[in-house]
Amino acid sequence: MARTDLWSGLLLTLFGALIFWRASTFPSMAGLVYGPGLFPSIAAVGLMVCGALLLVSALVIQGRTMAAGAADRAEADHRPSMDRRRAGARLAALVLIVAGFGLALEPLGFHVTSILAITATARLFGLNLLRALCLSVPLTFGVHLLFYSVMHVPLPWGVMTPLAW
Amino acid sequence: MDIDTLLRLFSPQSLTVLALCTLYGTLVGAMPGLTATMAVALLVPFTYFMDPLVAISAIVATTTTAIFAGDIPGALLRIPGTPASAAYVEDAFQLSSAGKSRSTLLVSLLAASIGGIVGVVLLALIAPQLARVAIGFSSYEVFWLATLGLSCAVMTSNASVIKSFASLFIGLFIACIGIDVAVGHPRFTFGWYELFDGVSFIPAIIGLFALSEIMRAASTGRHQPPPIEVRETLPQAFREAITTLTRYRRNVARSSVAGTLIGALPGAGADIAAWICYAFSKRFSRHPERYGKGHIEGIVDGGSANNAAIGGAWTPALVFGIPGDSVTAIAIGILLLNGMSPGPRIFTDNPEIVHTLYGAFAMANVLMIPVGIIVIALSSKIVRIPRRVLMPIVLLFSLVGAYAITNSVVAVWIVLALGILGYAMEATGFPLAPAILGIVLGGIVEENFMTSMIKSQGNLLAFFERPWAAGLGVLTLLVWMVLLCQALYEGYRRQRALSFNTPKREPR
Repeated sequence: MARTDLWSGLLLTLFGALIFWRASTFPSMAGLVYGPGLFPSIAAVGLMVCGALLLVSALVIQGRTMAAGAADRAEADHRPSMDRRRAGARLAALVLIVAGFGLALEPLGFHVTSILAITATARLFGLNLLRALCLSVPLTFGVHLLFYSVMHVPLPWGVMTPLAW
Repeated sequence: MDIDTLLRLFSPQSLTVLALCTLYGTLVGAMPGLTATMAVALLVPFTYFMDPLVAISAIVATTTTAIFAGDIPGALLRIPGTPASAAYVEDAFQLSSAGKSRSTLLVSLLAASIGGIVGVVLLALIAPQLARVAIGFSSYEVFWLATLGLSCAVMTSNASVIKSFASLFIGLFIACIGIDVAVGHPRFTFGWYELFDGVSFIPAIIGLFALSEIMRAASTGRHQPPPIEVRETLPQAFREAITTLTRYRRNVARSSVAGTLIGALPGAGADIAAWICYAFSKRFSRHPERYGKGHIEGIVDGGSANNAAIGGAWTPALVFGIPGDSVTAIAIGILLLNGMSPGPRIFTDNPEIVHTLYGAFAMANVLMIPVGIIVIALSSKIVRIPRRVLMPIVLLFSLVGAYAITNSVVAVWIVLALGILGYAMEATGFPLAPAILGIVLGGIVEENFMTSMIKSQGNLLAFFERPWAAGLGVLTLLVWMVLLCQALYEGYRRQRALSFNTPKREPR
């Protein structure tokens, strides 16, 4: 835990400092010291304090364990690195699918995009292509029926516009 | 309640609408990514075609059941259907993992029903008195109330105090995004107009709770323990639920009353009621160490409190037009659309509205039991769907559900950004719940803080000058003291653990 704490502490401190700096550029109300920047600054200071505390305690722990001659191997990830790399790849693939959904939703339309995205997600989770399609096509039309036809959510048609009903 | 109102409530039209909305609320609440707020928001177009009194019944039935049904995806998938279920989602999920999903959900169904009925009885009995107290509330009291809710979120989380606070500040920062309340300056929007209204709450919660869960499922690969199994028959679960409720009857009574009172305070809705009652439950329990690890007691308290709070939340909504939570905010909009403006005069000018509201509440809470049992019996089937089928479905519902709230692709980006954030936080031991509460309450805290600061010319002592503000303020400071002691104790324990050279894992 100490190593992740070190990094998250560092990240939080830097992020807090960034917010604090941005918030200090906001204009304040005439004649008042507090303006739109005050509340973000409070949150930023909170983040910096929490981050610094995490950082310091992680450093202390790391220092002590080093001194005691026991690196925090005990807390290291037990999974082989190959597994971890695969997990990372699967995560990245999922993020790409969601990002792709966001990018393609309006130009391609809801139907094409969601069939593609759901097929890809189902493949990612281990369904074969045929079963993934058997899931994504009825699911897309089910969601269309529920959201577009029943709930009247204006789902974009995109390239399917000529077929819109 | 007069005969006329009763007759109208039991008319075939009104009964049909009540039954349909109970079913609708339960189903929508039970679907991950579809929240109580969304259930009500989607109901708005339908209420145009209804009699105003029937419309009120429809809203009431939908909210009541959706708040309960939010427990279903919480227990089965660890995705709270509504923010009100977030307080005890960990307990519910752990119990389900141990094969007790049905009895857990039945406990929350029955606790919710009792809580809801207690809530409406209290609303009818003491609404005028509560209103008289709350009518004097200024920005100071509201500020303290919201701050107390946030502090309770830190107190109830099972992670380290520092990480819980960090999570809270992340939430407060997210709440800052958009046009600021004081002078209208855009903050952290980077010129993106869609962010001027702030980060929409529903895409945010979908990202933090739903997408992060899908991401975790993806990263753990196929070597995952088998999905939650239902090992109870319905009668068995029912008997166990009754035994549990009888054992914790005092918790039900306490949290139903407390939940109604908390819900009745402006700005505090079902979610804050659940958090505070969960925190109280943990403090007064004989087994506080079991909370968050699959202990039913917190579910009894939270489950009855959040449904009781819906009744309570209507007090400020009806009396001042101040919504208790996002759901009542939409409800107020519907009342206005139907030509009824909520305010103190509604009690004298349109008593039939108030009476219909009470009646609809009571009936929805009774109808919820049979409908809830059916949905619980069916919902347990969700867990038998393999993850490789379930996760793509959850993903599509999450993305389309988020899109439906804003009708813009920005919702998808919010889901993605907060999904990554939620995954990273979970992976490094930061609790999500304080962040969610920070997002919900950040705006309320800031608005009332800024108003108070401007009123008092920056004098912080003014926050303690009024009696109610002083009481709430002192209570909040006490919670902070407790948290400080907790943090110091944590540090001390870590040091000790180190000096004995036994590396201890962070409690999660």
